[in-house]
Amino acid sequence: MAKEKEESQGLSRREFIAKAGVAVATGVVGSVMASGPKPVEAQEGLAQSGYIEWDADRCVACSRCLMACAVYHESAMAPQLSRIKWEENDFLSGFRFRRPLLCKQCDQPECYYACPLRDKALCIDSETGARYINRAECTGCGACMRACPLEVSRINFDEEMGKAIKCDLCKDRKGGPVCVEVCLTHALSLVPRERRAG
Amino acid sequence: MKYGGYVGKILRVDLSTGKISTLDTGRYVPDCIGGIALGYQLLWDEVNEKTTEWSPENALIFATGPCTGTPAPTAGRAEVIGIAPQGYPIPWAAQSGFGGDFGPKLKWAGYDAIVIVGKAASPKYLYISDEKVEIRDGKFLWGMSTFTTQDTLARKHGDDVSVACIGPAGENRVRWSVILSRDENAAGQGGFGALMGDKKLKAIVVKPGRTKVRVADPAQLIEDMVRISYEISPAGQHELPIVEDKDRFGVRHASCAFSCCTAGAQPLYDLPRYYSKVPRKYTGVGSVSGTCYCVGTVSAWLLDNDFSQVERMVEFNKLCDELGLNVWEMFAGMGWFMQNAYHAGRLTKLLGEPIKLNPKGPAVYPKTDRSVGMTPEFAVKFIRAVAYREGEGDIWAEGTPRAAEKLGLADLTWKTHKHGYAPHWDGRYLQHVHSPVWIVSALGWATQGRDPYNQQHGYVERYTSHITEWAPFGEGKGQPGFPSWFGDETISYREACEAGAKIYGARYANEGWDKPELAYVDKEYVATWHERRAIMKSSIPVCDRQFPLLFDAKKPNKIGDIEAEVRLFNAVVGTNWSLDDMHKACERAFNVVRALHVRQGRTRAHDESVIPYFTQPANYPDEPGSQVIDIPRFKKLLDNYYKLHGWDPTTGWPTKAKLEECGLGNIARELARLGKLPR
Repeated sequence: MAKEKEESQGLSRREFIAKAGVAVATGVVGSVMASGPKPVEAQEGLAQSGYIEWDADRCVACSRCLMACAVYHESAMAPQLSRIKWEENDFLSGFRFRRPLLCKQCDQPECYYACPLRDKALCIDSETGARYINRAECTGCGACMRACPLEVSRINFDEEMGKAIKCDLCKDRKGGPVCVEVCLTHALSLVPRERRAG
Repeated sequence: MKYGGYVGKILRVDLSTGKISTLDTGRYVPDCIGGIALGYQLLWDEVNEKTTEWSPENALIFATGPCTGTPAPTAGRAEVIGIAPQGYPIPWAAQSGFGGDFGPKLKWAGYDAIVIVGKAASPKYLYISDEKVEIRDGKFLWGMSTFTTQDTLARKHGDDVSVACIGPAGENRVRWSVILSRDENAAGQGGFGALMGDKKLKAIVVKPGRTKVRVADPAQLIEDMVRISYEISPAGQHELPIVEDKDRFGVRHASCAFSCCTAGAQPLYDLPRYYSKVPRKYTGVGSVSGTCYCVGTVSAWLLDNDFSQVERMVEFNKLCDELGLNVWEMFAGMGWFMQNAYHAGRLTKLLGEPIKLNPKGPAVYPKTDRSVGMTPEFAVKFIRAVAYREGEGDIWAEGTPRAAEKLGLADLTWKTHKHGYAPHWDGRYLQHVHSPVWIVSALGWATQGRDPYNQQHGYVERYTSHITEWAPFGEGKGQPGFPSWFGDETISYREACEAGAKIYGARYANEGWDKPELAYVDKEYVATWHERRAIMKSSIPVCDRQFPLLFDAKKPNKIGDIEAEVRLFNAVVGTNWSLDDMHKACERAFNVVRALHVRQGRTRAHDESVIPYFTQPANYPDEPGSQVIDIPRFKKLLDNYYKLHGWDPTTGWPTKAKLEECGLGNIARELARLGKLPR
């Protein structure tokens, strides 16, 4: 709903805010959201997103999260198909880590701003706030992947399809994120946007 | 590839010629399922009646299954198949599986299986990615421990690789050496480390690439992975706090395999534990790290029965892992044999030193304590002497039965070893097994190429732990509702008899405990059913310990989710197989195994070689059934077993009719050529 409004003005929300100034934007966006389903922290700019939280102490490094992710979204498993990446460094004596690397669904999503087809290819879900990729529009330019500020980019890429692959919080899935559902040790949990700190 | 699960190619590497080629997986599947069912078929195609364990033609096969590399619970496994150096008197074709991440990564690198034949002239390692396959110079790795080998190769090829490798024991062709991946995932039985060493192949590196493992029915797989995961998990396991013991060293839980975080052969509710930086005391300076599963407690068994000494346990376990030795054979096989010989007054020295072993041995539960009684210092010395074949270690490196021959102790091996392997779950050594369960165990062991693996966890351990009257541990034992050591509820023996009649389709399948006259009746059905389940588990593949899900105390008929594996297979592959279809595929595979053994010289006499072992009493003298095997009745049972299989009872060989019924006409022709095809 908010997006439609912005589009009708021919401005993205960021541009709109930049032009109109924060004080005005607060009023405008706030009034839009008053009729919407979820409150949005408009003073921060973009709507915040929920995210998947990882509890290191509960993780047994089984990797089911990333495999279920790929299978749910792509009907196949290969490391590049998962929205969760995997870090391992337990060869050298002394366990360091073997762990999932999850998208943080940043408040200021560099991937979103880097996308030349912003709001068409890299979009914001009005329901969950998820920063997600609309595959039909993704051209596979890789800008989002390179823009991710995390040390291992959380955006994956499948060369065969020529598409970037990114966590969408399973926004269209009944029952919520599949990674959370299959995590038996409850190392993963969904933090909804309402509970996101800051 | 029409089917999901398979990636379509089998890699074939000839180390003698350096030739690298591929086979089409589609030629074999889905009829050959994957894993060992596929592996034994590939082995049949490679070897002939003249092939021995050390022939260049002997194939070292690594096979994944269709569910490997998918999130199907516990499926992150690979199986090793070949003519196994540990087998005795003939090195029977055998298999051994391992978890970790090698299997999944092999598939993501583009291959369902690897067939390695020939012998390299100098040490090599194999590098596999979906861009290239290379036989690389491995001289710089030769002599390294398994951990150092993996470290070195990970530095060279990246942390995302998986490595399966051998240690010094495998290099030195120790017949009970393992192939190891990561720190505790080992293909232990079979002595496949020696086969790899004989081929001068130090390691296989798989670099996960971009090959996709397609899943036919993702929604079904995800639904089942959640459901089945909870079914196989000890109740409340996942609510437990993670173990922390930071004062001494780091401890955390770790899964055994990709897509595995169940009990991992760690009894009593717990998850496998990863120990970090445990200080070394007996093996030099610095520290060791790694996971310990069930048999990782080798030090307690070998030394003094003290299971509380965690540091020592980790250190000894990792010593065996680094050298690439099979801990199970060390304490359950060789250790038990040594005690027998020691107590018979015929083993007084080891490595030239006078020995003092556990005076309460030989260790048969529950009458004596179980340990061998070595000092820690001597145990380290012995383990190293074997791995490097130093002095008398060279003799023991040949494995217990062959060492016994050299040492003039061959008449004692019947008490501990059959087909070359130590016992497992048969009521004579470590476990608490009631009649008639051990009778089925004996029947299952008779026709195996190795230990009675098909019985151990899926059958014997289930019954031992899930029947209220038998469940051995804890307060309130024997009471209704008493938990099994898998954490779920036990059922009464009577309920198990009712459930068994339905599961196995035979009225007296589980009868015989309180009615000894039924102890040998219908047991061929139980052995056959579990033998097929064993093939199924190691082919799809899923965890050997957790499947089949035999009982469920919450169900009115007490029958568990016995079709779980088939649902996983169907969801991944896209087939619509019934349990019966799957059993038929497993029957076919078992006939391939049998044909391999028959071609190697197997006869009914080899099968019957297990009988003397069971003349040693089981552990429950106060129960109505006999505690020793009734030989005439067992032989009659064996007749029934052969007939049920469509095998000739005189020779134990598969008949022409049975092989053709299984679609194995080519195997029938080959056996006919050798004069080994009855009827």
